[in-house]
This record gives sequence, structure tokens and C-alpha cells, in this order.
Amino acid sequence: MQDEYNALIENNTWSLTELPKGATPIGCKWIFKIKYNADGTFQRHKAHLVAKGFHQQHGFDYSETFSPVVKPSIISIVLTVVVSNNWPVHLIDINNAFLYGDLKETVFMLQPPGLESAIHSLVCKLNKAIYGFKQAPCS
Amino acid sequence: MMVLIYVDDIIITRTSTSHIQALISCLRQHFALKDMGRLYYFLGIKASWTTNGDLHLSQTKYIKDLFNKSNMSSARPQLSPMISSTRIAQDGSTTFSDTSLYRSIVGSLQYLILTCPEISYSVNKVCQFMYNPQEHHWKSVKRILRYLAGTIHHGLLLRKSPHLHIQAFANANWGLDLMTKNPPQATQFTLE
Repeated sequence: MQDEYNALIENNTWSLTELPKGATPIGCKWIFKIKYNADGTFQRHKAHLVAKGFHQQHGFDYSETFSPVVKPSIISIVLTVVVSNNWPVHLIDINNAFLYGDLKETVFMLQPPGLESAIHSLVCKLNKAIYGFKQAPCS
Repeated sequence: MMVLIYVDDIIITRTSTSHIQALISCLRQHFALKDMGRLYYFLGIKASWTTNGDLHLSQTKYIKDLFNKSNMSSARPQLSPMISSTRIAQDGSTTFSDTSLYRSIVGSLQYLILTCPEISYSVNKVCQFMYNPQEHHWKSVKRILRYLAGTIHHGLLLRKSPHLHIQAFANANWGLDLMTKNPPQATQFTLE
């Protein structure tokens, strides 16, 4: 959990501010997951801070929700070409992928539970998308 | 160079390893990333390389998770994913109680087509009732799951071929679809 929190802070994901009048902050919570290897054995524990994205309103808090995914048939075609030509294939995984996109809209979020700053009344003004956001996959 | 991107999972391939390494180090300057090395597991698909360079794709773990989700772990295997005389009608029985379970399982089955293309027809059928699934539609879904129980270790083998050819097959089967009377048509493209 501390790792994830540090990654969020390092990434300049949000800045603490006073909540302006009329703005509604959205909540967030921690999700704990156990990651497994391909053969089902334990890999590691993982903590995610997720925003309660279902409180967001279309056109106000978010507008577009598209994310880049590849079609299954393309995977098969590319891998067939790879196998036939004996090409090397590498797999890479981006850490905290969702945290790279800059957020266009202004969204306020309550401070993460358990790791609040000394002043509880402050809220996080988000600079980057986090998990749970409607627009997170496309940022 | 070919780069497949699935949100945060990226597959890179090119004729030489040095070019791949160059791209990875370039990406590393902008993102924190992990180079997982030679392709072995991505998007829930296990990729195993045979000694002669063929690639075997399988979704064994994904199928097991699916069995757990649908409480079918001890299902009796069936030899086919569908009864040949099946006429899946719109109505005919009571509404299936857990609509979201139906949608979730059928959605996962769609993803399984990648390595189990033989279930695509039956999955397409059960997909047509997502908005209002009935008990007998759920039975058809369970039939597909039972079939998978018998083929859980099967997968798709991509074999080396010196010349890649594109082949197309088409089939129109007039009047056999009893529900809509529309001719079910099939077109298939293969790359061998």
C-alpha cells in the first residue's frame, strides 16, 4: 500500500487544496488483490487506490472513455507471422500505466483513507487519472 | 517492427533483438516498465514455445477461473459444445435468475474463442440472449463449459510455415436456422 502511495505521490498525481465552493469531491478506497503466476502460484500482494468513478457525471467530470486494445484476431495473425519468421518477441509491462495520462477535466477527490495529511479538510485536486475513473483507460 | 498494445501490456516483435532492445530503452526513459523477456504469458493466455520454434497458446488458468466463477469446477466433460439438434429459441422457459452472472460468463467465453475457436458458433448463439437470458439459455452455456472441461489443456498451435498464404472459405446454409429463418452464413479466413 505504501509502495502504491509513493508511486502516486512521485507521479504528481494530485495536489492538496481547499475544496472550492460548489464542487463535490468523489470518494476513493483501497483495493487489495493477490496476484498469481500463470500456473496459479502466489506472486505478490497488490494494493490499488481506486476512485469511486461511478459518482462521476458524463460531460462534467469526464467526456471520453476509449482505451487502446488490440483485436484477438490481430494477436493470432502477428504471432503466426512471428512463428513463421522466427522473430524474437518481447513482452513488456508498464508499471502504474493509468497514472501517466494527464487529466483534462478538474476533478476533486477525498484523501486516501489511512494516509491522510494532517489537515483533514483538504482535498486532492487530481492532475492525473487514477484507477476507477471513467476516463482512466484513455488517458 | 510490430507493436501490440493492450492498455499496459505491450508485445514487441522485429527481425532482430537489438532493435527491440533499442525501443525498450527508449520507452524506459518515459515510463517505469518491466521487460518480461520472451513472450510467455499475456492477457491471461499462456504461450509455450516448442523446441522447434512453434508456439502453443492456451488459456487453461482462465478456464479454471471461469469454472470457479460459475460453480462448475467438478463438471462432467462433454464431447461437443452444443447439441446438434438444438433449437435455441427466444422464449420457452423462465427467466434465468442471475442475469449478471450469465453476461459475465458469456463475456468470458467470447474471450476464450482466441484459443478455442471451435466454440465460436455456440458462444455466438448464447450471446444473442444476453439482454434477457432464460433457463434453457443458461443450460446451453453450461453445455459449453462442460465441453471446455474436457478440453481444458487444449490450445492453439501456431506452426511454422515457409510461405504464408491467405485462404478464404464461405458457406451458406439455407433455411436451417429455425428461429429467424435467416440463412446462417459462415466466412472464414485463415493464414497458413
